[in-house]
Amino acid sequence: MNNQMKPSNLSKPSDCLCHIEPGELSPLPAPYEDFNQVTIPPLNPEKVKHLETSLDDTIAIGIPKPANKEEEEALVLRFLSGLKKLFEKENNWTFLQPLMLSMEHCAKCQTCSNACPVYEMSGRKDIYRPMFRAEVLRRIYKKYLKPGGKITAKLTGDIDLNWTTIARLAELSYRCTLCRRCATVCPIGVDNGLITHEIRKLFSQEMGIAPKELHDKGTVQHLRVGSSTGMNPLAAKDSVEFIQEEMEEITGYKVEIPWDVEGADILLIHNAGEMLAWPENVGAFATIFQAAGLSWTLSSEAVGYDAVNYGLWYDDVQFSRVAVRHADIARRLKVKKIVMGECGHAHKALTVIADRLLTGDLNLPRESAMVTLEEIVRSGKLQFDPLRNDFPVTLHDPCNMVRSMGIVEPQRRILRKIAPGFREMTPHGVENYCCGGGSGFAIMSGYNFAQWRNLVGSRKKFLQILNAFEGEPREAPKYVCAPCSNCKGAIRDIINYYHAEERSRLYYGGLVELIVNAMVDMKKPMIRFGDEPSWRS
Amino acid sequence: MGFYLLSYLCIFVFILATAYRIYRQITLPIHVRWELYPVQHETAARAAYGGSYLEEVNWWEKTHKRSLFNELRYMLPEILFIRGLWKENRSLWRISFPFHFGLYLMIATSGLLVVHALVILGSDYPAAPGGTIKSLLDGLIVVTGWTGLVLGNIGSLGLLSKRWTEPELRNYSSFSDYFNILFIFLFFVSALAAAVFTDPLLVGAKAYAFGLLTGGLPLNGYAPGQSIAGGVAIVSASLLAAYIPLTHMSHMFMKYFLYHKVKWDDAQNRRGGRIEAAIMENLELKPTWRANHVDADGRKSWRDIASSAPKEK
Amino acid sequence: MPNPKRILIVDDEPDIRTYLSTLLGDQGYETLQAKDGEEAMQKVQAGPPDLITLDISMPEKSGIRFFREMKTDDRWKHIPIIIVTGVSEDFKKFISSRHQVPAPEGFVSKPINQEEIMNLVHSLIK
Repeated sequence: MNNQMKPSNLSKPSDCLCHIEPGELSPLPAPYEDFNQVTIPPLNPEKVKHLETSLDDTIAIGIPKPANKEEEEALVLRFLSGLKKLFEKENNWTFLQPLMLSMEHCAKCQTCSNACPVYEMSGRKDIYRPMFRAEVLRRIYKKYLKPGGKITAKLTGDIDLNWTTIARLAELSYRCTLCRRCATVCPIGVDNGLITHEIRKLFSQEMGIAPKELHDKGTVQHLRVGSSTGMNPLAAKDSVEFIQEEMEEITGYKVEIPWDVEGADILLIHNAGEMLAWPENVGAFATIFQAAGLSWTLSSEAVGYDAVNYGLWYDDVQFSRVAVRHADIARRLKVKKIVMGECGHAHKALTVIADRLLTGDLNLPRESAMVTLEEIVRSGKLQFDPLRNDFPVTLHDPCNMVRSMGIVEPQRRILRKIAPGFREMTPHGVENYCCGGGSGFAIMSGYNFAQWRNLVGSRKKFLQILNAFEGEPREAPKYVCAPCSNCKGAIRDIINYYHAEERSRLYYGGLVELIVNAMVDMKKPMIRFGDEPSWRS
Repeated sequence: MGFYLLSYLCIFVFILATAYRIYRQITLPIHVRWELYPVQHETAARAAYGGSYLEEVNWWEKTHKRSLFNELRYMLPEILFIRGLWKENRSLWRISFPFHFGLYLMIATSGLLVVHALVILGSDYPAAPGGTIKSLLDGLIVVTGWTGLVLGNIGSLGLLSKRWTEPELRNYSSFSDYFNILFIFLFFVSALAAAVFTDPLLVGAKAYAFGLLTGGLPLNGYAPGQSIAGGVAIVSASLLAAYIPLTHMSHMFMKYFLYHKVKWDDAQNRRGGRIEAAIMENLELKPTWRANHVDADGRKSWRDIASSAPKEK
Repeated sequence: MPNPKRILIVDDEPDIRTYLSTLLGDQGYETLQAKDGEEAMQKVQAGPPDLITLDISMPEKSGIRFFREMKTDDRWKHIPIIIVTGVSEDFKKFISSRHQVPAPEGFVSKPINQEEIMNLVHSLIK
């Protein structure tokens, strides 16, 4: 393939700037060699004939082709006006300083490239280098918005700005999961993940261009209906009622799930996707909190039962709206603190990012469920039989919770206490690899994007998981503990895609399920491997 | 005198450009948190694995223990030995380290030259002073100067050839990337040539520093530019001082902001505190983003917009 | 048609009700409409339909509650229900694997694919 890719190539017309040939992706070990020649299936030409598809083998947004030259030129101007706004405090006070610092100090040493799982797994395709899109933006900014830029561009790096450049750059900003592993290794402290984030914002906030899963069905639906799942408050409550009843059947322990209890100590907010895709997680939380005697509640107010904040990934305005709603609901419920359920990006959104947005009585305490759970496990209020979890367990570190928040050890201290078969992945903690579902990818599956994610984005994680269980017999069930809804979504998809349940007996789930599974008070096991219970009563 | 005038002008530009860069940073509005762990001012136990105060139950009720010692223990080898690059990109470190350390030694040598000049001024100039301090300085200047020049030449040549020969660097390099290294190499090579061929004890450098501090007084009959190499070294060093803060090479000191104001900025917003006041100011800013859902009209503030619903399509 | 089959369309969005009503009406079905689970239950009690299309997120009474009431009541549980919803794909698996209720007879995601829903309706009420 093309080994002479340069940032300026982004504006040169071609049908497909970067194509992955069979055999180019990083090889998988036995028994998955049959996937080594598999590559991303071509887009259906009928379905995408009116869309911009010239970047690579997939599309994440599906940007409509402009009707004519005039429309193209108008879009280019609109892009430039948005780019200018990224550097204005009125428009971008939220990230202005980090953005300026990262834009001005890259030494182009490529240390970041080796840290990026997408770049590495893709067969080292240049366009996926963390600094590639940053360098494109840097060149456009210097050439078109700095005085004398057209002349200095010849010296500092040139690029042509046309509609192709822009359409490709928009798509390219959705080939990075914002895991920020590149930023941790940068010797200078430049953050290419941040620049990707800012590119996404420019497209959304100025041009109204964003993947529909994040915007229309995401934040817009979240704010309008109450949840990005599409469940309104009644539907959410009625769904949870099922699982409340089923918990007694599953574990033999009866739970009551409290709603809208004013003055409770804790407002627990789940990712509402959890209620539908992994309802046992919601039930397990209730079991633990009830058994530990906590004063807690869920909220049934619109937005209050869905912790997600997709704005974190692409739009500061939508981000602010969701965060303010979350905080306001907790304020009116008069709870002492908000506890974030097993959802990594929601953790970071409300705890860290919104910390410099919420003022006065909206700024109320927020805590990670990892911490709350560790306190319960350590308190001695619950009795455990760790042998009930006597199977191989590994832990996935959600980037937002670990690398971006420093919540690393509480979940490990719990696992060491309740899961004798716990082992780490390599590397782990703040050096972990993304699941491939970060920054919205786990919920994006239009066109053939899910295949791109499974084959390229999640490939490194899949290798890491296989590696963590190396030496275990094939027929032994293995548990990947991923305390994050989006990570679970991505891991579920790789297990299905690579038939890893059949071939390696890989199962996955959250942390609370493991905790409940080891609780002595449970008459029956919480965790099952297919039809097989994890322990017998 | 032309040499001195150029040096004064360049030092003036250096101060102005550096001050401007720093001024611009400290007057920017407070931004949202975007820290990245490990954050090195955490306690040693936590920094070791990248933990944060958010790992504690009810963290907001506790005082956040920070460790300056731990931060310095990390920063020193990072700054001096470029430890990050050692860990993540060893082959580049092998040339980047001599390059940077060479530059550091040049800065150290400049400092020693100034001290040397001050010592002379403190004694009864023009009689050459003696004594242990002077001998110590003479010795140090030779050691730091020579080591720095040798390392700097190895490093800049190495960087130049690596950037030119490796596609992953070359494909992303522009004219200015080569120019910058060449510029630095020009200084290193001319200064080394001057030292090797005419001035192994760096007498000229000492005299030039003395002249700089005294408006051009000659020391032991020195006049700048006696050798071509020495003249080129003075001119290129002066121009570099002015040039570096104008480019991305300002990361030498701007790294402070990249780390302390972003990567390690984990300061909490407490009710009634300084951060809250700064946020309140930001929330009054009026955005003009044009996408429909934002619903900005130039009159609504961030506060208004954040507490509203997106405009329906 | 002498004795047309009756279909109850339950959705809080008038546009969807009108759309489905026109679509099904054109195929000779008699259609009834309800704007939420509460009204739908009244319509069922007034005279059970042959099939129900059911939205999930609705005010007063959600589609989940209504579905549960229908499928646990011996009088109505034989009436086929097609869930027509914008709720995420995971919902299908969720509602189909609950212990308390049988799986819904049909499932259609919004935006509605005309052919998909017509095929389902035809196959469920011959």
